[in-house]
Amino acid sequence: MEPAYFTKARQADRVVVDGRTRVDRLLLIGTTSTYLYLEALKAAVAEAKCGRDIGQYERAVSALREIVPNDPDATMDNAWVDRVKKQVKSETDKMELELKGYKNNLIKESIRMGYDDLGSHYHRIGDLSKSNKAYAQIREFCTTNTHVVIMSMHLVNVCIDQRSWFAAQNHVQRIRGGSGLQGYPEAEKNWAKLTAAHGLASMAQANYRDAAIELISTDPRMSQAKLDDPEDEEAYNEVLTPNDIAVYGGLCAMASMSREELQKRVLENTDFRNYLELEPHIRRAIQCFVSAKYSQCLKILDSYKADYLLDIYLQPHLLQLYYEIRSKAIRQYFIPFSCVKLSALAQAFNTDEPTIEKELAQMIKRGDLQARLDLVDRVLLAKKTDGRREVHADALAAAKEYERTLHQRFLRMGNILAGLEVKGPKGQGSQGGGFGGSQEVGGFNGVGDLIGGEGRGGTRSGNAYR
Amino acid sequence: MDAILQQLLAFPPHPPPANPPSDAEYDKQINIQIQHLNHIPASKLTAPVPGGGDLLDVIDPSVNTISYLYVLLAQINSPSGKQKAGSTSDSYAPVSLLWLKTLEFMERFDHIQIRYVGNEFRRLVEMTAANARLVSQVSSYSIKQRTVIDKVQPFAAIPAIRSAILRVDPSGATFTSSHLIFVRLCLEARVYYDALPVLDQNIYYFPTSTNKAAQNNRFPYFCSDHESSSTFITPESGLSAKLVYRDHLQYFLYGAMIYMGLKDWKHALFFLEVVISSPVANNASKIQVEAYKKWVLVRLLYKGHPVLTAFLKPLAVPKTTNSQALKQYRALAKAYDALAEIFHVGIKEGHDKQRLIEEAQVGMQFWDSDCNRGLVRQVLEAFRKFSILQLQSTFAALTVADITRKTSPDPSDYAGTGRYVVNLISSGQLNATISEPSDDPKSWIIRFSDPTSGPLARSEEQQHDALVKQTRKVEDLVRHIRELDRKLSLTKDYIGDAKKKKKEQNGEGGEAGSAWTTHGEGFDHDEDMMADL
Repeated sequence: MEPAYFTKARQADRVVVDGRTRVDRLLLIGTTSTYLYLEALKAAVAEAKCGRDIGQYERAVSALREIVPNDPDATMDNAWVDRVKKQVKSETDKMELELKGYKNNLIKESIRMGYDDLGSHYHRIGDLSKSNKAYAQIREFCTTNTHVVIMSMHLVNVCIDQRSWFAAQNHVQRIRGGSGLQGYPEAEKNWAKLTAAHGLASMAQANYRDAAIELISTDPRMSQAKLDDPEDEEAYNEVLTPNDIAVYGGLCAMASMSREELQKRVLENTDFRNYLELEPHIRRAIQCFVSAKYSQCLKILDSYKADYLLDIYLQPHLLQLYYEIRSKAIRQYFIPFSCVKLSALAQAFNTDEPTIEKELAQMIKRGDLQARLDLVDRVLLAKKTDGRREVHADALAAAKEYERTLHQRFLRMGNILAGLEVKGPKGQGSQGGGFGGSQEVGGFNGVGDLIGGEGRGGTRSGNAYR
Repeated sequence: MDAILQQLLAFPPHPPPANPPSDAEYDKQINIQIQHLNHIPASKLTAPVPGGGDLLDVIDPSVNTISYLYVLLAQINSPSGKQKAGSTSDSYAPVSLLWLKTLEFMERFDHIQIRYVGNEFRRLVEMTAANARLVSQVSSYSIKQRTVIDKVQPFAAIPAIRSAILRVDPSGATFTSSHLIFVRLCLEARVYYDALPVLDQNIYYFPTSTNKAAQNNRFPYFCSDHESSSTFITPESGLSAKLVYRDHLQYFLYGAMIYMGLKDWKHALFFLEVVISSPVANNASKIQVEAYKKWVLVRLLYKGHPVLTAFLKPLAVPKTTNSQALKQYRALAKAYDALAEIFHVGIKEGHDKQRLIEEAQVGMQFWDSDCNRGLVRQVLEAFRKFSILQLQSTFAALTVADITRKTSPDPSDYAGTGRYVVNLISSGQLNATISEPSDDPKSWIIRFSDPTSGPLARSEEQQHDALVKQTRKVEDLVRHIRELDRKLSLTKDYIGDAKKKKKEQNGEGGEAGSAWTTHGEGFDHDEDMMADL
């Protein structure tokens, strides 16, 4: 089955994403989808050829070759590669040279521009670390706050392409302010992009709650961006689209927020509504979750699972997100009950009994569900808690532990007082605090106090327990 | 001869005076008696009493303890005894008259008088133990034809030495060299239960030479009523030989092994931890490494999986363990740590036993050379138990068929699993009930109980009692801590330091500080200013 999302996208003939990620996304689809692979890989090769990134082109071709060795696109176009290589080299040299000239002239603005060109050039040809370096150099030559913002935006994008999420978040924070940093008001125009990037980075680091909070507060200005119009400054489709914001934000929120929170912070959020309208099924799923129609909610999510698994940022986290949503649904479902039939549970969550049994066992094991399974009556039982009793038991355990530790320390002190520390044989041990070098050399063999002779005899009776 | 007998019976005065003598008087008398005894030649002590019979038959060990001990030692070491049979051990061999007298003495001596003759007493214990071991070694050559007597002989020394130790120090709070001798003897004779009365006494002190003057101020005489046994069992008293670190490490390791023999993992673990966390100056001792290896295994046997203990990670080594030593343990016990890791993961994830068995097989040479094969085998057996125990955190009720499928070595052995679970429940290791609707073990139902119900549930009163008991234990410990505190405050280091501090205080208070102090102060002041910046 062709994932619904792509059918739609193709019918609308929309350019959804831009920039480097186009090839990356196509490659991902090509290597994971059993239905779209050929189309995607061919597109990836073609797309890569339009660009300047030889590494990307080679990756695309080799991916295609692995799957369809006979395809005409599966052979490397060496002429193209050589040509582009030469071009890239001459461009790089030219830019470096220009930059040198600017530096000699000591005109800050020119130097900044030089670095900026160099950065975007490296970004284009796929040398991300050099690009990062070039952009980072700009800082010294910024004369206005706007320059700092521009530089940081570039850095954020490069960091996201490098998958160094933490660095990306740092760059966002630097211009957005917060946590002790002074923000730049000039960045206001980019607010939506910054929030989206930050949210994306949080999600990529599996901080789903942070990601959700970030993404649902995205400035609505981006939701109306004309994606196919390169002149539209709001468009952020070199990283992610407004649709992505809706999906990521919605899923992360469902995975990490309670039903009340979902209602208040997501559904009643006028800003985020703009995005949710782009992905109405996510909105529906959230609504179902809030109104405790879990099976419908899960059904909706399941029907889009194939799509989401082809998303470059969502793929590594989708299963975990789905697990969290599902287990939270089960938890929420279970709250009012003290015991539930497994068959009822299975029905409520669109599955059969053995599957739900395994799932529940897994959840209990991970500590996600405070309950126990009764496989005889085939019910799920809530764990009874007796606070008073638990406190008693804890106190007793703590007291025992305390006594034990106390006694041990006590003996230790007595040992020291009586001069019974373990000392190496004379002349071998280091004099005072010298654990270092002699340790390695002397090694343990140096410890001459083997339970020799008699002692050995004693130890041997360990065999008595055979 | 009569004169000697009179001499021997001179102390304590007979009949006892109406008013018991003061401690000082008693101390004086007893010292005079010991001086006299030291002057009597050994030959006279071994000679028979004129009226016939032995000196040992005339003297009552519970009254004239010191005299009796002198005579006993003289006879054991007497050349006549040696001549008769070629070595001391024969006339003094188990079941000989002298041997029996010795054992009787150990049961009956006066616990005050014995404090004055610590060295002699210790020699007696050492000789008795050596003798018992000698015999046990001989008899172990012919284990199969062991007669009853053979078995009795080495064993006979154990209760006697045990009561001797406990009579000297009923609180059992101070470690002596006799403890080690005793425990080793028990371990070699494989009589574990009989070691418990001594092992179960918590040890709190090691004999130390405290500041004599200060000590005497409080407890001037051996015969005084001592609050803690640590004040009369000192290196000077001779009740314990001079100790080296190996002694107490061995005692605790052997003690742990005895507990292991009894499958008392809890105590074994504690003893091993004492060894592991003993202070280390530079290199760890091999004894400690042995203890660490056993500790890793016993830890598994005691608690199995950490989830059950409500701690999320496996039982950790005591915090006081020297970090350098810990590194050395780990480096030398890698095979053990690996085995434990597989055990934990296996229980947690509900794996089967295969992986663990393989690991145990691979490490066989380590277990063998460390004599831990028996423990490893028990660890393998325990895996099944803890797998079942682990089930109760996920399940409330299961059929035997389910349990078999999840935990048994043989997935079709329902009857075996049923028996195993019943055994776990009846031995109090598993809080559950089992119902048998039919004869087919496959259909038996196991219900894991809540802590509030089931056979192991404890009522609130019981819980309360346990808490009160525990409180008392800790209070007891605090009493000992005070004693140790006092002792520490009498050490040279502490007093030296305290003096210095006092001086410094005075120096600061008075204007007339020495040149050096003033200089030092000025310097300190400077440093403070720097710190403020």
